[in-house]
Amino acid sequence: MNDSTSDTPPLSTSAPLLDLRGVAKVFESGQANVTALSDVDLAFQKGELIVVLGPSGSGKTTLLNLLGGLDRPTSGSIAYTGIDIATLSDRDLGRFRREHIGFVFQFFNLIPTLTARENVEFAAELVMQDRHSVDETAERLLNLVGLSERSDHFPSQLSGGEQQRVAIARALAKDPDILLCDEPTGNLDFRTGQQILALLQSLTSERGKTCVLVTHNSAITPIGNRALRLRDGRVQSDEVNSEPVAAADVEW
Amino acid sequence: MNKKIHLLVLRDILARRYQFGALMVIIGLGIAVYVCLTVAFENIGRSYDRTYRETNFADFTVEIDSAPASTVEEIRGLPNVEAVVGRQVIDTGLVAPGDRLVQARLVGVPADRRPEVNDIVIEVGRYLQPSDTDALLPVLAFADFYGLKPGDTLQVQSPSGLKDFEIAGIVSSPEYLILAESKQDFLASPRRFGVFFLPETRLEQLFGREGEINEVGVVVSNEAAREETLSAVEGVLAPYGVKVATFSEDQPSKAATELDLEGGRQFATLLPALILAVGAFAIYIAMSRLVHAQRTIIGLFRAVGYGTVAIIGHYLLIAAVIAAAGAAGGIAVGYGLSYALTDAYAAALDIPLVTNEFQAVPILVGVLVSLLVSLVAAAVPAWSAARLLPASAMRPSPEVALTKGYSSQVERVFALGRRPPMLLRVSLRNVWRAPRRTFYTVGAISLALLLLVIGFSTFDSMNFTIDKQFGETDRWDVAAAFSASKGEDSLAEARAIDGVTMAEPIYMTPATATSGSEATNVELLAMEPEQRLHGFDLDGGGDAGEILTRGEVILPTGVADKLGVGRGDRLNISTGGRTASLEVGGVSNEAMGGLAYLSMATLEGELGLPAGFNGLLIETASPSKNEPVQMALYEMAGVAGVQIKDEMRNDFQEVLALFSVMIWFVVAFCMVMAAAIVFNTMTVNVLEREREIATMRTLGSSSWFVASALLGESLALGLLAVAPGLVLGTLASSYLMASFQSEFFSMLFHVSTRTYVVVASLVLAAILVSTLPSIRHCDRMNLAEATKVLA
Repeated sequence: MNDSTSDTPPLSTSAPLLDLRGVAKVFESGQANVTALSDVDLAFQKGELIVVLGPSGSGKTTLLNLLGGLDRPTSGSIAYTGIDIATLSDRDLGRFRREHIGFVFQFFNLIPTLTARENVEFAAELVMQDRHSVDETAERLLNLVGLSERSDHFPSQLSGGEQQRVAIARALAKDPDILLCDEPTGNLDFRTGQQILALLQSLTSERGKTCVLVTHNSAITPIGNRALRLRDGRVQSDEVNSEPVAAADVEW
Repeated sequence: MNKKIHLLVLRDILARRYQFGALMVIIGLGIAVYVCLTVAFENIGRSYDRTYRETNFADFTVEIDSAPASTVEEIRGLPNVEAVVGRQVIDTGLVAPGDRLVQARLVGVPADRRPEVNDIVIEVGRYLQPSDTDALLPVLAFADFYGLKPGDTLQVQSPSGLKDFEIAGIVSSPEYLILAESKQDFLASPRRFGVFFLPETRLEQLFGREGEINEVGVVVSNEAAREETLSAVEGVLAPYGVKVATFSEDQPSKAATELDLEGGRQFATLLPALILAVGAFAIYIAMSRLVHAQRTIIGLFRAVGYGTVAIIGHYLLIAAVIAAAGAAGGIAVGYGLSYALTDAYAAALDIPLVTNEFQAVPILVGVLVSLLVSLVAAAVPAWSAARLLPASAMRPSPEVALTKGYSSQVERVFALGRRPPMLLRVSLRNVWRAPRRTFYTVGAISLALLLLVIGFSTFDSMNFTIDKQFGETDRWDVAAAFSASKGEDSLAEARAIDGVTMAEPIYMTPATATSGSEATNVELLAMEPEQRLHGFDLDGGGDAGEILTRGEVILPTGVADKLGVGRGDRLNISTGGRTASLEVGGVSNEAMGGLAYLSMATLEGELGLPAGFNGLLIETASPSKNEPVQMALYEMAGVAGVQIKDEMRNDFQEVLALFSVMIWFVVAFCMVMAAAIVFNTMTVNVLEREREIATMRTLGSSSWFVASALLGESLALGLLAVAPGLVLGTLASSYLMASFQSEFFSMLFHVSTRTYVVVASLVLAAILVSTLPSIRHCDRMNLAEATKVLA
């Protein structure tokens, strides 16, 4: 059970892309156990942009880690198209991340020794064998994020916003179903943050990606078509927003 | 300074315990090697000194043809003569257990009292008694080799045939601590050579030399005046045919022990210096990365008011803790091992009077050096930490980045002009991303390679030297020495022995060679110019036969270097009271020194020695004929000794095998060092790139990819170090070999291709193995946490 204040049904009635049932995560910290998540039941559909909000320690990042297969729940199940990823081996979990998940981090996490193009190629090569496909994908995605002119620059030669756009291109290079974004605008200025959010919005609405966006910034909640609020490891509310606003129209 | 900042010292060290542990191991190794070798060789030196002092070792000895024993009293009356001994020293044959004929040096000593000079130390049994007639005292090395004990009987070859002698005791002699038969054969094996002390009256009677002596040993009161004393002694002995005079430092055994000690002392300085240099590199790298990783903490401390001194002190204190821990462990281990090494060394060389004294200086030096090395290595990182401005330090560290195309040329070379695979790009660019760290890592690995090249090239040089000496220089199979000059009939007799295909006469006699103020004792080896059984390798080429025919002398490299002469120079050669000025016709590259080659005609004409020969170089039909020919030669009248070259070669190799233990010791050290260095570097590399590696894993890169990238990076660092390491190693080894040259032995420098391949492979293997802990760390990384690591 959860503490959701809304019984609003998901956007689609088809089988969920991700289905969490009774998920709990407890961290052992010396003699005391810390419960990061408790009794979480959630279902995410294809094409959703879910904004996850909550104060520090509410369990946002833990939820993101569990969704991305970076961690395993202490109890409960996380089914991806019916397959419980909590029971996968490390090797299969790695493959799950490789084939289905795109990560976008607050600090971009680009590989500093690779150029923008190579960062995207790095991810593309994980799922593509053909050299031509890798090249074409990198070219297309850098064009999509508006960085085709800067593709041969190293991360240190790019601004924060440009780095985050490269990170998004890299996340898309594997053509994942799910984008997990941890404070993607947290380290960016307002204007650049707006651009990144617009990009994420278009990826969900136009390309059908499911995007889980974790943030402290409640001002960006309206851009999503669903808002999830966590508190003390539990889902406090789960609200559908049937009329998301354009990223360009939000301010903070 | 506030104590809180220093609380971090302990925590910093504990947080990086494996990394700092590796640094402590490197410093500890350097100090342990220094303390162990320094203390051991100091104690070995003191043991030698004690032995020489307590046995009243002669300050000089004079060999003569034959003089009345009464001359001893005349010499005793000379000024500055504190003690003197006159005795017979006779080389002959002896039947060792197993009916094996060996060369025996018989030395006469008084049976009723101990020798006044060159006393001996009784190891087993007893000294001679006046009632002993047919008793003798073999030296320990010979007795040990043949398992002899008091009461056993040996047969001594005398002019009247084989005589039985019973062993009364087994002794050590200061003159034969290293069983050196002569300067030319300073590594004689007890298999074929032994020294035996006999009652002097019995020895004189056995060889028909009653009342005669052929050697005088003198101890002087004032060492500063020993040359004047020697001149006076030579004056007394001049009528009796002075052959050669030898000062104590030129006495073959003592000279060999000094050379050995000198080599050991050099080793005791060089090896720790190199290890500590590597340690300094490693500490610099580790401290630099620690400062880098702690930028925000440093900024915080600066912001709340800690001053430059406190920050520098903090990092220097970490270095001091590493130094103290390394020094403590190194001194404890090194000092403990020094006693074991001294005892093992003394046992191997039969040093009778061993001294193991406490030495504080090496401990003090060890502590100071470890502190100095660690603090100097940490000084630059500590200073750079203190110079960080608080505001910039507290900002997240800028990513270490590359400029465009920085490594593209290198990558293209590796990828043969095509766009290189991602794995190669990731690996290689990590090598270039921090050039200074790469430089120091490569420098440290190069030093490990250098040490390994020195170790392995010593084996190469030993083998090369042995092959050259016993293959190209000594072309004979069997050599015989006679106690008196022989004529044509003896030569014909030798040539008629079954299995002898060639026999060439030689004449050997001790002499003094002088050039300017430099003088050295040599064995003159006269031969026919057209001889074929000694091979010369002349510097700058030339025909040895023509040189000898012209009446010129050929010197081995060691002797030429000692005298400072070369082709075309003149030198004086004195023997038997005559001196000749001869031109150096050539310098021959050969391992064994202490010789001077000239023709029989020159020996007779210029130095007045009688015609005839006292030695034979013999070629046999096959190796199987060597022993029968040896036995037949022993049947000839006046034979003092017969050597088989193959046995000499084996003996030489056995002696050098002892040396090999030390070299393997060096090799093992180098392997540990190379591994410790790379472990350190890779640990630092991985720790500060946790976020990057975790990101790769999060994106879906396999463990294999990450492991391959790390191994590739290690391999690239190793490959960068290979060329400079091998080149520097070759130069250092060449320099070291040159410092080991002496007038009586020259190690011929050689490095084989195999050595380069083996050394490079060993270091690369050590590098790859030491990367494994980092790979394991990456495999077990908490990806959720590591992707958020900032610095």
